[in-house]
Order: sequence, then C-alpha cells, then structure tokens
Amino acid sequence: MNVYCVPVEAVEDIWIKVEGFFAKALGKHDAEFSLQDLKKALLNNQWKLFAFVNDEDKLNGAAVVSFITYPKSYVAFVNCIGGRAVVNEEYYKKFMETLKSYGADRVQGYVTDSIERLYKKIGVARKTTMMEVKL
Amino acid sequence: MDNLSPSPEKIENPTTTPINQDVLNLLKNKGKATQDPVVEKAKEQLRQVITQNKINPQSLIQVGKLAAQALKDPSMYQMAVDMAVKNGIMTKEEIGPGTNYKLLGYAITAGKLTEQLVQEGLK
Repeated sequence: MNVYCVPVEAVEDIWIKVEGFFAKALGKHDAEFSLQDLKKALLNNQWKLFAFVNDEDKLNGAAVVSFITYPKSYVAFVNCIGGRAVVNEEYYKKFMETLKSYGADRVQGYVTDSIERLYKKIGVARKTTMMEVKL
Repeated sequence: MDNLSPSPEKIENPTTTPINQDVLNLLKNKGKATQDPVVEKAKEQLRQVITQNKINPQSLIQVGKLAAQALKDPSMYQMAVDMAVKNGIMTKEEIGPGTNYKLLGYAITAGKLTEQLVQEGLK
C-alpha cells in the first residue's frame, strides 16, 4: 500500500473515484465546505489530494490536505479524509511519511469522538477541543 | 475526519476502486515528493504567494532569469528591478537603493522554483 499526492492534471480522473469517500465523510457534518468546494480547491491547486492505494493498485481512500504556514510550524491540515480502512497503522505511517516529505512538521485535523477513538488506537493524541459560535 | 454517515443516494462509495493504468502510472511517477522537504515546503509557500497575490508565474520566471543575468552583467540589474516592480512582485521601497544582492538571490531562487511549479501544473 502507498499514499500518493495526486498531480493536479490527474485530479479530475481520481475525483470520480474518491468523491464517494468524501461525500460519506462530510455526510451529516456541518462542514465549512461542500463536495464541490473541495473539488474546486483541488483543481485550483489550493489544496492537495492524497490517494490511498492498496497493494492491488486499487483506491482504498483519499484525503484533502491544505498546507498552512505558521511562524513556528508548517502544518499539513487534513480538511477531509474518507475511505475504507484508511485509519490503520500502515496507511497512517505512509500518510505521515508522505506529508513529511512535502515539508510538513505537524499534521492536524478535526475529528468526531468516534473517530478520535480510532486514531487514539494508532497513537494519535488529542491536541485541543474546538469550540464554535455561529454569527 | 473519516466516514461518519451514509453517502448521499446518488454517490456510491465502493470499498475499493480500480484506477486507470495511465492515471496509476502518473501517480507512481509524479505522486511523491522528489526534492528535499525544505524545497517542497518552499515551493508550496511560493505557490500560495503566487496564487493569493495573482502574480503571473511567467513574469516571476522572467524576473528570475533577469536577476541571474544581472549577477554577471550589472547593467541588467535595473531591468530586473523594473520588471519586478512593473509586475507587482516588489515595490521600489522594498528593493531599496544600490544593488541588492540578497534580493537577486531570492529572485533567482523564486524563478527556478516557479519554473518547477509551472511544470507541475501551476497556471
């Protein structure tokens, strides 16, 4: 299995195969973006698409990541991740290696309580709790 | 962050999805970072600056080339400065008086990285 950064010229081809993963991940979330917003940001090269490919060269899942520059850190922020069995140690390790190879020194993302439990099992720690007020 | 609810009816979510061979080859050839993480980070940061400030990548490449020429031929320096100012890449105040060699270095690097970004699909 491997995790690849999808070149922008391949986004259209891959998108058809991964939008279902993202649709399910976004699902009932009150997300700040829609499926179409994700696609637009990828085609505009603002965010990056990472494909989770198994040993049979089939797609298991995908993630959309934005790279954020802070004064003391360069964060790979996972905006959306979806697929089958992508939260496991092997994919996690490959994904982290890939993000590190693109210069990130931290990886962050929001999760729900149920997904937090999955990540905790593979050693990912909670950093903070996000609060929100709609204005 | 992962699957949380049923998919919308019209979008299927198969367990695994086969990938077209051409696309797979593209992923395997271009889907990994090829340079040092520091360079990859610099490229991404430059891409964000170019996109957010609506800078024409070609003009940045051109300024980089002029800056490289200016290192060899000082008479080219003013041309590089004028082009950078004209294209909104820098202001005259930021460049300052005299020959700013640090800036020439930045311009050459930015030009080279922009060339790579264009090859990777930046428009």
